[in-house]
Amino acid sequence: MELLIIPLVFALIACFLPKQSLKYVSIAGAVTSLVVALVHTLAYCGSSHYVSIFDPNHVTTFGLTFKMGYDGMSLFMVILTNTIIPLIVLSNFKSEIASNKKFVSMLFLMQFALIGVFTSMDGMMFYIFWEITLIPVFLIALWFGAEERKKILTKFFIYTFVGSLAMLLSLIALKSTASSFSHADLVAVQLTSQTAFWIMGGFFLAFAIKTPIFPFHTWQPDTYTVSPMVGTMLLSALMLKMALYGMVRWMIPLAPEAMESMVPIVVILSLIGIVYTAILAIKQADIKRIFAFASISHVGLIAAGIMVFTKDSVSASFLQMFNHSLVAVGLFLCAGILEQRLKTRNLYELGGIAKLAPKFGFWFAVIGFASVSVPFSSGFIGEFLLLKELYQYEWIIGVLAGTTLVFGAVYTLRAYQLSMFGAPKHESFIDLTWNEWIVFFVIGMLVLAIGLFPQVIFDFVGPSIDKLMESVELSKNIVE
Amino acid sequence: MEALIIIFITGLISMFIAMTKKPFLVLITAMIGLLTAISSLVYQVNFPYEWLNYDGLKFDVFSNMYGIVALVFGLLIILVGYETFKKEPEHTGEYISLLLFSLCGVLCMLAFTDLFMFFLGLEILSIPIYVMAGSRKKDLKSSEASMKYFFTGAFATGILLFGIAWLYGAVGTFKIDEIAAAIQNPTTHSSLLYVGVMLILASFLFKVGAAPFHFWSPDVYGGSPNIVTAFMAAVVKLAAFGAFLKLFTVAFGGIHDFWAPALVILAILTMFVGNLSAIRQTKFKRLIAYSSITHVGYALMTIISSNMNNAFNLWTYLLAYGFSIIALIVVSKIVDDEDDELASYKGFARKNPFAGFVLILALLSLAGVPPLAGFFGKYLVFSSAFADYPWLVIIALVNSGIAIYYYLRMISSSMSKDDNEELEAYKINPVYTVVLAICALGILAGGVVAML
Amino acid sequence: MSIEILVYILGGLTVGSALMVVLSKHPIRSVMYLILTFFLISANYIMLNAQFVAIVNMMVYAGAIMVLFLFVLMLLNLSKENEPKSSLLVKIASALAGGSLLLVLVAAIKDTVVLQVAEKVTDNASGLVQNLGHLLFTKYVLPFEVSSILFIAAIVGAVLLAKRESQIIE
Repeated sequence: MELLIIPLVFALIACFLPKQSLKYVSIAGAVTSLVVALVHTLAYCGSSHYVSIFDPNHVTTFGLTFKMGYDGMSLFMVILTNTIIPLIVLSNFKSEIASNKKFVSMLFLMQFALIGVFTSMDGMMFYIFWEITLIPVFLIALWFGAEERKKILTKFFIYTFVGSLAMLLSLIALKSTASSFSHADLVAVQLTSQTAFWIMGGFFLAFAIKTPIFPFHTWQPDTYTVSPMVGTMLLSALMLKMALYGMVRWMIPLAPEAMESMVPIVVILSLIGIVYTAILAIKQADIKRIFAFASISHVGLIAAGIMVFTKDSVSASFLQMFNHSLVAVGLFLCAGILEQRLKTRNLYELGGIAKLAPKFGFWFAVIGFASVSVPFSSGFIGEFLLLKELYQYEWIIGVLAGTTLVFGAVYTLRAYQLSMFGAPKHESFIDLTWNEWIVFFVIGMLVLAIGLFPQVIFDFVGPSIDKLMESVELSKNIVE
Repeated sequence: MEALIIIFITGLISMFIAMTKKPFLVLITAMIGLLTAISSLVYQVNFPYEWLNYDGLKFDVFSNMYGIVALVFGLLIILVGYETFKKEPEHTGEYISLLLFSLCGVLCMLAFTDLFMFFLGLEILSIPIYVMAGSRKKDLKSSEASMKYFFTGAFATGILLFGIAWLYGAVGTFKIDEIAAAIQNPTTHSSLLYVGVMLILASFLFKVGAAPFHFWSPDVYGGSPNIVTAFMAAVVKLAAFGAFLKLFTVAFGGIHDFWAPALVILAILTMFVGNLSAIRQTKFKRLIAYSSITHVGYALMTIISSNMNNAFNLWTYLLAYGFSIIALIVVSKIVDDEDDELASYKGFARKNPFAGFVLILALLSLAGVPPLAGFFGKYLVFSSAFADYPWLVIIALVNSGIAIYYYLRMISSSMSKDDNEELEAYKINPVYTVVLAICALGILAGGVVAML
Repeated sequence: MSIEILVYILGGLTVGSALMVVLSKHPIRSVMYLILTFFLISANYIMLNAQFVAIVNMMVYAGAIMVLFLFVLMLLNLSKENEPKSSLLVKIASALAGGSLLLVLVAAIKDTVVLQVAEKVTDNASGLVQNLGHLLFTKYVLPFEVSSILFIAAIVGAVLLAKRESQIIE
């Protein structure tokens, strides 16, 4: 339970603390959560059973149980969240919004809601926490974002909310024949494949808008560019992972009868997204938009991998989720550094930064290569496994998705080259400050470590994935 | 029954205390009376006893729960209204006593077992509000609101009486359990019965403001003084819906298949009309009016469906809705714009953090965002209707999505930091702060209460 | 047989005079027709054996309320030009709406079998004051007392609205 309580407590006390101490309090809070999560992880290592963290064994009149708990997959996501949040706090350390109490309390509220999403074992609690995450992101972008943010943020909020309403509809439909909202009860509902298609469709709409998957991605580039650096990091590194986790934990197990009909649709849509956004990314001038499109492209691959639903592809998806979060934080930090120092994000106005700030050039290159998934980085393992699984599903899809390797290299290297090499267009550029250096270093080390020892993650999530796939197979076979 | 008598006596006493020309004493009397009535109802819910009991009214759990909520809303509204009433010390007693008499009507309407008492309750509820809507005598819009409300209300009452007459012609009795028994017998199913039920239905829809009987609503809500708008939106709706539910599920439940399809179409029409018109509004109270038309559409779904828990679902929904409305009205009294433009709320949340926080909570609760009470209310209403009419729930969810647009517009405009920095923080009366805190508590905790 | 003809004639006259209230051009004539309608309704009540209600109807409606109407009309000094003109579309729409309601109601009455409750009332004295009062204080005492709340609310409301403000309205 302390996983949830600690961020909430920090969110509340941040409202009452004086301005100067807020920065340090936020670091303290983030690190505390990380330590707690690590303790849980070490205690859990290797097993596959389900650990319940809150179960008052009370079913309300309309079926809400309050079950919260984790198994390997959920705990992995919790560790992911609690690792990314300190990195986000650190990367933001020197900006003026870091001491803003509204920001700090929203950040911790976001962490609370995210951990709630990852550890809910009850459909209604999942939905409630899912909705709560929308509020901090929206408010942070609204308060601290760029000039033309109101229309774009309104579109973002409405779009995402409508998707969640579709998920609510599916939940209501499932609950009308289930005895309660708990995960086990909802899974036990047997559906005809027609009903299952619509129910999975409702969940898919919500997750597709959040991930995003083509054609529901139009909100994403604008929202990413208009949000402040922190907001973009929260959106891309964390909120997106909620949707992918939701696919594994909720969308597929609750309506597995629809898998045959849904998988081709999702895979094809993801594929179109991967290729299309990669091509779009090549032509962008705004560096944040390049990374936004890159994000859609990479995540499309993860989503397709999840839908294919074999043991290897789901494990690789989790690995790739971790990688994508780290790399996203890194990439958006680079964009944020450029924007903060030079007040512009236009690639054509940048140039020759590597000469002026060699450390920044080095780490930007490291992160760039990690995003392209060169060997020895964690992305390599993840992408390769996912491509292999897609190839085995349908060879043409694997081949087309493989083009992302090429396109990814093109836009990342183009961004790097235009901004770092060439004649310098600016006189001076402050090199990395200590907090940015730490963030890059940690990201680089983690990417390398996972790249060299991916088995750690596979062993961690593996048994839980086995269990999940077993139960899905079982519930699939029961129905006609 | 005791609550009814207590509130009536409180109304009388407060009128006489007003002769002392000290408005504060009137407020205290009203508060004491309302608190006594609320505690008597609460006591009756927990330890049911029968002390005074007469033939036409029956204070069971249903009417007590709805009654408690109505009285709490009445208490909050009188507290908020006191600031305005205080400015005319010779009229304070009259205003407060009229509101108290209207609350008597609410209790009658909720506890009826006899169509007499229902009709009486409806009239006792409405007539003081007709008067109060026109109480700002110097304002032309207030008189217009009062006239429109009076005419449509009187017309609705006329249709109600017509319907009751037809109903009597068909079943021969006024008591609702005898009506229900008579309807079980298929020989009474003549067109007299059907027309009577339809006329009563039409009159109800007039009263709550469902489409296509909603045309009075924006003008009346927009023109009345803010307190009266709050009372109309929170209390009158609660009473009307409670009575509606009771009458139609207990008395006319047997011919459910006759009137339910009509209500389905009207609910859909109401939701769309309310939402689509609200998008284009530029005035605050008219926006509240149209959004309350939409909420009426959602609430109609509980009457349509034949779920066992409908009374509870509707109760939660109206509780959440009422708290949000009262919070919104308090904010509008703080801003106190004569022309009632939405633009005067720009940047409100930046300069008045606590009031802005409650404003945002209220708007989010109306939109149906978890974990606020509004979400739980909506969820209960939607899930109760899902078993019978899944398409209706889909349409309702689509409308929720549409509604988000104008609520969000208001939230982001209240938080915008545009160039007009001369916006100074409003000096908020501590009474307002207390009421806002109570509303915020209600919105935050209402969901938790409903979950248990 | 003759009773039935009387009922039909009375009913027709009532409806006719009510129609004339709405259709006549001069306001004072409308008021006169309204008074005539009230008289005819009282006659209907007497036919239905409700003598007390008939007398009270005449006293309250045709007496008090219509006198107030006439006073207000004299003060307002209405004339034909002050009447609001509604567009053709509104007239057609209202004719359609009202006409359909009439159609539905007539169709509903046409096919019904009236409940055989009417035979129970055989006592000619049931409409008289003594029996009515007896009922009001035993069987229907609750509505009777609760309606006092309605009266007080109406009185207070009327005084509130009509009272002249103490300071001059600028």
